[in-house]
Amino acid sequence: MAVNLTKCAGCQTCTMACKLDNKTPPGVMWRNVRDVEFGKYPNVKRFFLPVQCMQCLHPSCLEVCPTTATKRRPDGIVFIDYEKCIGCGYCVLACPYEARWLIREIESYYSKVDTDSLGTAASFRENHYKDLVGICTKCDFCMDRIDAGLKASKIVGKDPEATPVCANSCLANAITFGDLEDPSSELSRVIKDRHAFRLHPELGNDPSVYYYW
Amino acid sequence: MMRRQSTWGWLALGNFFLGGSGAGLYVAAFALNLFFLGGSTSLLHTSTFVAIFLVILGLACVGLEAGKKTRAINVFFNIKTSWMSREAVFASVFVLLGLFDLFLSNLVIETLAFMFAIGLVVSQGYILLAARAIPAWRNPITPLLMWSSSVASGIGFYLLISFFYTTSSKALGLALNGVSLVSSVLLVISTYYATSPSNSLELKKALRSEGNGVLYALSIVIGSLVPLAISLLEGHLFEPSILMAAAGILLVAGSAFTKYLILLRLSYVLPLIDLGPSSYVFRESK
Repeated sequence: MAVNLTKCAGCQTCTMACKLDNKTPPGVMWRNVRDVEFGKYPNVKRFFLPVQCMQCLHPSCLEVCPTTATKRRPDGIVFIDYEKCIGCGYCVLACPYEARWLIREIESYYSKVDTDSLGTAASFRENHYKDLVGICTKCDFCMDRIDAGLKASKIVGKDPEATPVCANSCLANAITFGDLEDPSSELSRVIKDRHAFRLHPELGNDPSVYYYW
Repeated sequence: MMRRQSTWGWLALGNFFLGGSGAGLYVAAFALNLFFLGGSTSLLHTSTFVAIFLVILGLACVGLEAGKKTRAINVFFNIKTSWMSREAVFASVFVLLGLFDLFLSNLVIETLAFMFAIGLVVSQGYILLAARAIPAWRNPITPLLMWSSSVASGIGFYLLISFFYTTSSKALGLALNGVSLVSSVLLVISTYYATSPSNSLELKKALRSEGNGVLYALSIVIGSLVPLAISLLEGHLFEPSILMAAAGILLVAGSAFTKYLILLRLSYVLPLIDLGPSSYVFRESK
């Protein structure tokens, strides 16, 4: 994935699209956009930095996970087996990108009265959240969506059915998604031509999310 | 604006302090007993009992901290790369061997328990080193500081136990030599940890923030300098005294304080992006 920081308007549409599609609990945002300000008055500048799991080639979270709940697929997607995770929180401290969310308790969007009046939709969501209490969660590049799209002969990064919802939802078309290992892909071209950079390359995680201006 | 990690709290500190102290106690007691005292068992047995108790308490802290306690067995699944898995193995096997030793008093079992205790101390240091998001832990000196701190608190507990054994004056003399040694080593390592020119900017910032530098200096005084002074004062008086117990208490307290500082106070999170001293990232949502 590559993000054009010049295009990103900080609208948080990707944040909300991710939240809705992945049904993350209140306060948990696998993807979010940071508002960065730097410089000194009167020369102050500002830009928006969308962050999420960087799907590292050498993920420090995977190395430290004592349960092997964190796994890496052959296509590079790093995901968590929620049935194995014990919620020790070690991966949160190993990830330099703040991409992991250890859910200790669920704060409900609704009061008890609201939940009752809203009926099954709200109670379904509340019950779904309960399964996540005590474990660590994170972005998995919408891998189920990608798998389903590929199965339907869709093209990753081109067809919305085989592309993560954050990339689909971006109003400014600031996100390029595709196969990093394919030198002819749009993603590889953008990274090469625009001199894309990564966050904290010195740590050796080798993240798969790039940024460029 | 710097932000501390909030993932690991007092329970994690409990594991690092209690588990490390227990393993350090066994290491100190076994080494003194085997190499210098020629097999006196009563002090070793009491030390073993206390060491096992401390390690079990440490494991209990880890268990309470975990989100899904019923899946605790999963912690053993990644010995290949995870120091937390290795710590769990070292701690569990150490407890089992220690329990066997309490009943069997076998040198082979004691030697194995000694090796697993060393493994436990070592793995705790590397657990912190592998946490790349925390600059104060990612420092290559951190494991050395954790190891020496654990052995120091182990010797501290050993002194406190020895205080109740009036006949073991030789052991106390040797233990005080151990205090001199471990205090000196701890003094060098803890000073180097804070002042090394190769330290990252983030660690330097962490030490300058919120009075951490002063507290860290205080931990060196409590955990190294005063015990060293006591051991030098009392080093030739091979008999139990209040000062010896005081040295023990200071070593234990110094170790707890040092680990508190490392785990809970200096543990600022690496900024996602650092654009200089005037940069500020809003929406630090965690």
